[in-house]
Amino acid sequence: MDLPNSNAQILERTLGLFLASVELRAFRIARAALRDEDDALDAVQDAMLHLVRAYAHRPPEQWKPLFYRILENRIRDMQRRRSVRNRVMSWLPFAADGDDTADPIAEAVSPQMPPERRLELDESLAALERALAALPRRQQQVFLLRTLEGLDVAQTAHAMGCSQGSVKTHYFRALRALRAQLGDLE
Amino acid sequence: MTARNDDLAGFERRVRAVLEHDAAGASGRVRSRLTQARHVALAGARARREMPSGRLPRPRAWLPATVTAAAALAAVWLLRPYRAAQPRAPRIVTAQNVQLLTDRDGLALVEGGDGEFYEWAVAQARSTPVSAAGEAGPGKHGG
Repeated sequence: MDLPNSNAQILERTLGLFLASVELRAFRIARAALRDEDDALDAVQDAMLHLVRAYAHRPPEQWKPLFYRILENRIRDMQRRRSVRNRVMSWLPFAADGDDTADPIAEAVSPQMPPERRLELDESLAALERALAALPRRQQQVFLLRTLEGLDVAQTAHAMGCSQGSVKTHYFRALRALRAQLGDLE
Repeated sequence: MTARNDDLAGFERRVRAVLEHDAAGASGRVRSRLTQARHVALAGARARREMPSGRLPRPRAWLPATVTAAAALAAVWLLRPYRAAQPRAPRIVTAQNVQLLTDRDGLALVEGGDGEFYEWAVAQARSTPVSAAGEAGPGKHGG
């Protein structure tokens, strides 16, 4: 029996399960920051590749903060690049083409929830997205990592590359701002 | 203060529920792309594991060999016409030839082909006695 190969297969399976467990929430966090679905997908894919390539040998309990740290860096890079690109494009006499028509079949979600409740949540989500988009980026990311991904303060601090005190401050400010803007979110 | 914290905690729960709903309700396209990304990442890890050195070959690793091969080809290409234009050296160099080449006078005689001088010298030697020739020399220098 090839023991090292067997260990590698177990590691690969564990990595696969981990990535599957975080990918949707990571996409949601990246999309909130980048406000573009394709950019968010690219950012998540890059983070996956980087984690597997550079940190697969680390203990699995470290993967989540490392993964979100990578994702955070990737989001920041993409925002910087986009900012430069927008500045350049604003000087050009043509605009980007509008080939972003959504495919209704691909966009369809599985109907596992009563339509009324889904509609209600969709409306709440739209309001929440608008409010999240209005937050400063650090507050937005800290809030999503804590609320959506469920990272604790230490893990969020590691993922964001800041102190735990800073995480608490950002989180509280984000929560208060959202509460003030959204009122009773249903 | 406690009521305010409870209010925020309740709000936090509701936000979490909304976000979870969003994450769970991702479109088929998004789910497909994420699954594909995961498989690509894991395939990369598998490929690295199956490489003997544990690393994928990088283009830079081939650079020294490529440069060496290109330099060798260039050298062959540059030297080939030069070598063809060179006159072939004689294969056998005898000792006699070496002596002839190093003796400047001998070489001049051979190259000049001055046969008349040799004929005149032989005629002089036959017509003039050895004793007269020996007496005539000093007299010319002394007069």
